[in-house]
Amino acid sequence: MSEAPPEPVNLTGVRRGLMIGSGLVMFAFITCHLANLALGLHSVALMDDWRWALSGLWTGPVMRIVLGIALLVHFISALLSIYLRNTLRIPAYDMAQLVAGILIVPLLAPHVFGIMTYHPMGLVPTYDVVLRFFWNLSPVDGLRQVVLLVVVWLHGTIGVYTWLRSRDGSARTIRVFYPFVVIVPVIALLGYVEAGRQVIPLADGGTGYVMADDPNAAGQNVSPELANEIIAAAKRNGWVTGQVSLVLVALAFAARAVRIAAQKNGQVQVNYLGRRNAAFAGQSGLTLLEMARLNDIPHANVCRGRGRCGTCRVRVLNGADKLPPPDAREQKVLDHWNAGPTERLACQLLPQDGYLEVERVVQPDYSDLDYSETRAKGGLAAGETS
Amino acid sequence: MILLAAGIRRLLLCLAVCAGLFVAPAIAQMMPVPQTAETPTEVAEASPNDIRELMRLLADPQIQNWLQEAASPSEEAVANAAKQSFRQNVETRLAAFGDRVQALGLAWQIIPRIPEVLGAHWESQLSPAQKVRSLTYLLTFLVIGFGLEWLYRRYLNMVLLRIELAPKEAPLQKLAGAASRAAIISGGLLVFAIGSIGTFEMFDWPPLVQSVVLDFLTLVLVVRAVLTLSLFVQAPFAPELRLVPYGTPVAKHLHRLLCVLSVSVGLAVVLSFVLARMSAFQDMAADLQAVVLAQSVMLAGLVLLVTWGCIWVGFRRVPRLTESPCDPAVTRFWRNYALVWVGAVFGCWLVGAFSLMWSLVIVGLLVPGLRLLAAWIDHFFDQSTAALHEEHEAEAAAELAAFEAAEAARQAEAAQEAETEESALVVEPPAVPEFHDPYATTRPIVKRAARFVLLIAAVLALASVWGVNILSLSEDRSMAGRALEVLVDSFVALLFADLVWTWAKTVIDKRIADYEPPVDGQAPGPEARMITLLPLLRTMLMVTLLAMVGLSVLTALGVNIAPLLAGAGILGIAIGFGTQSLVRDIVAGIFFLIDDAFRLGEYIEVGDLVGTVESISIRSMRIRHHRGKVHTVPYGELKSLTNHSRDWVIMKLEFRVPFDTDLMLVKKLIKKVGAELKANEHYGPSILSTLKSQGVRRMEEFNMVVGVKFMTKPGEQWLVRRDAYQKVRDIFEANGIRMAERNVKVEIAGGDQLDPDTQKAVAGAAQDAIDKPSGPPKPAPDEP
Repeated sequence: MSEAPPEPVNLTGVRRGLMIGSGLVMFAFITCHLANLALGLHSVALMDDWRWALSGLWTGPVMRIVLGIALLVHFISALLSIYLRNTLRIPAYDMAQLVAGILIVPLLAPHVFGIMTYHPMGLVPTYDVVLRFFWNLSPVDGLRQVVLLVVVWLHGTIGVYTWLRSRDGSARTIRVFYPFVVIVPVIALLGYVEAGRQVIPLADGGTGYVMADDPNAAGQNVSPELANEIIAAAKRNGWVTGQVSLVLVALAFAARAVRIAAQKNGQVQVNYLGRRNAAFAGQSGLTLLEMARLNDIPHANVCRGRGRCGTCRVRVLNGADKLPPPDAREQKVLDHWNAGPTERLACQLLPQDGYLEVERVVQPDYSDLDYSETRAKGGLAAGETS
Repeated sequence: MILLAAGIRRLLLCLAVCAGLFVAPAIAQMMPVPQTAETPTEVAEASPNDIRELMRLLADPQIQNWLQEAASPSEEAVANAAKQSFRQNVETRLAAFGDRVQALGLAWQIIPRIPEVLGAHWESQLSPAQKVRSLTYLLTFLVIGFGLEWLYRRYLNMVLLRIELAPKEAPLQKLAGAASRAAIISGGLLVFAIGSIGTFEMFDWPPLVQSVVLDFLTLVLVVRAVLTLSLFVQAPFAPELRLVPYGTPVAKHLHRLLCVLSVSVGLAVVLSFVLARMSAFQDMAADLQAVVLAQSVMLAGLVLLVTWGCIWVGFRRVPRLTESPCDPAVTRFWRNYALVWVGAVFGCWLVGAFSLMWSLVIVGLLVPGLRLLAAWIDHFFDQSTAALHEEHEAEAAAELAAFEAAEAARQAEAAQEAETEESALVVEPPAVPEFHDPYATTRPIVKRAARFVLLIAAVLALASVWGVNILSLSEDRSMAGRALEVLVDSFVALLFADLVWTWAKTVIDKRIADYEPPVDGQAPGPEARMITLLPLLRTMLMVTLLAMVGLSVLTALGVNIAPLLAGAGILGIAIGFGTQSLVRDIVAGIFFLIDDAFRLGEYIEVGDLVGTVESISIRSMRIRHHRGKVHTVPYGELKSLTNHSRDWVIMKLEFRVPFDTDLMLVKKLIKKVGAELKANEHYGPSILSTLKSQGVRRMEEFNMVVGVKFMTKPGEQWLVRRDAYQKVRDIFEANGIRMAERNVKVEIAGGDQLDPDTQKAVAGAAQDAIDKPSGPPKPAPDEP
């Protein structure tokens, strides 16, 4: 290994770590929040009973800041990763995650700022009030909430799923994770709908759910003008935040376009050996995995090019001399798999030009991969066995 | 709405066009009813109360009476309608056409007002809150449906991945893979349907929204089913499973086009449905009717444009994406054909000629459909054959390689052992068996059968388009009905005959083509006679088929063929009695042939007759005796048959030697002769087991009988016997062994002293004993 690992490489690792960490924090919050919603399947009262634990803890003085920082960190590192994307022809999961991620902030901001107006007005955001607002007063906002729920869950689960899958011994965890992914939003949505059913008749003057011990019974403790002002400010803030986030994303895409345009392109002739040989010419600037995808060559890649799972390993049979050496992160993954000296990660390999002959180590259908086997970490130095 | 239904029919058909096959139930459902009046077909579903009320009313005897009365005139009216003259018929059609044109004119004026009318209507049906809540519900049940499907797909992901990526050579493997993949995907679709429909039922929807949502849900399911079919056939994302002969870019492109087409067509259909439902929810349907027509015309126009666009783009792009060159003229022809065809279908729909439209659709599909089907089956079989051929080649190559390795090893060994002693023994490489296409006979049959099925389906579809029930045609006594019946019957008979004929012809031709005439000097095998029989069989089959088709056409025409058949039957019986023995001869001949009892050139024995088989005909065979006589034997006369020319012959010879012969010497000498015979360059190879002594077979009065035997191929034994006798005699003589001769030893006590006269007398007396006929039997007189 070279003595001083290049600076940006470390940054990438840090960025990925921050992204996963902040994402996990927010995912935990979302899960609790949705669990709270799911209680609506029983009654609105139960939702409010558990509100302090499932939602309230997260909006407390400390966790509120933690969540905010997590969101900020996640957003910034997401902008970075947009900037660093080599190609936009990405797998469906990545595409879904990207689109959902872009949509989250504009959808979320009105909700966050809306909830934040309750406190200044001397109100408590009980589910009773909020549900009545979403189902009766402003159904459009209610619809947005549902869309937000779906979008957030989609984005979050794809992230967690990808992170989980590329971990050792994930085969068992993941089997439990699948139903979890489906059940949580489904019961949350059903809880929301069921709770709506309990509050909808109130709008028409019918009988519906009335909170037994309503902290908001006294009404707001500010003048109507001030209240209107607060609400207007919240609306404005929500809108502005959404627009700003979209502009930032657009800027990241623009910067990425500039970066790609500035790259000088070389031609790489790649030859894949295997049961079906395939040859293609790729443009440099893409990783080998991206080139293979563009040319419809099936390739095992559990983490979809994040350099974590090690399933996209290729054995370089020819042209290895022109390749940049593996960086620290790649080397770590390679060591983890006890990879041979000629093996590289296709998702981290940036061929510049010339000719390359490679062979997939893991078959595209994973038929030769035992993912549940435990590997001795660092037990064998790279190159000793393969 | 009739118009609407027709529009939907058209759209669905476009779908079917893309899918490349008929969705039978959909077609059946969408078949036009005779267009007489515009009655709304979409009615709100009956509630349980309504049904109870209806049942109560139906049970009322008064109502029953009234119904019966009302029913009878309507029957008369139907009868009258059937009896309409041609002129009246034309008049009705023209009137319908005029109405249609008027309605279209009205619809054209209304088009700009569509959004306004619809918007007002929509508003009047739903409150804003309801709208948004409905959307929330919609989102919820979609999430549940897709979520469950995702879960299902996750658990089957590995299986699917293995199916998609495992290399497959033979098309049957591909077909099996594609089918299991399609089953998995369809399972996902089913899970989605169950999840979403189940949740859909859980919510309370406003009635209009409920029907609209259900329409859209159906749309999603239908479009996804169509796409699943496309995935099954062209597998744009799994090249290993592709059943069609083009590459990934083309498959992807076509899949995208199909996606666009099916979504737009489906959307148009659903929108028309939505409008129909709206008009059903409103009582004053008059102006909405026009709006509905206007909207469906617009939607159909859009669909037409989209379809044209897809055809244009498809025919433009696909030739560029394929590796194989396409003839631009052919491409242009088919593109124009498709454009004109779609336009014509649309035109027919616009003027309300629905039966014509449907006929156009069916015939227009049939023409390219037949070609594509044939091409596809060819591709399928080509691939199968290629895969087998490859396998065969690989096996042959492996065998040759193994042989060469063995050869090299052997030569190296030989070179090591003795460099001087050149063993120039060259071993022939193993003969690689020629590759035979096992599907040569299956292919034309499958092609014909597929064509047969497609044509029959087209006929059935056409018949139901024109409102003709093929099964009850015989009840229809009108001229057109009769003509149609005759046509359909004859057509089906012809198709069946064609199928049988293709099969028989392929099998017979293949057998004839496979026949290899015997090499000069070798007797032809039993196949030789089969070859003479097969063309005869083929002609007979053709005549039979033609006769049967002719008879069924005659029956369809109404000609009574019973006398014909009776006549033929009587004639048949007469001929049968007259030619009883002839028939027996022919049948017996076929069985002798199957038994492989004799072949041309074999030496056989039939009853008292022996000889070589000289010719074989259908009724008799001709045997030539070795002395030139020719016997003609009908097969019917043969009870049993002895064949002397099969496999091997054992011949036993005997020698008489005196009692004082050295038997060990005899054995040794015979063995030597045997070796000599075997070494003979002419008949040596024919000797299967050479001459050997069997020792003393019996003792006779004056000598011992030494038996010898040898085994040869049939026909060679005479020559070998001749030489064996000669050589044995020579060698015996050379070694001092005498053949026993008949002699009489007269022993008289004190015979030494006999005088010459007495000796003479004694010899004379012994002469009698010598003259007695005895000794070895003569050889069979008729051995050649």
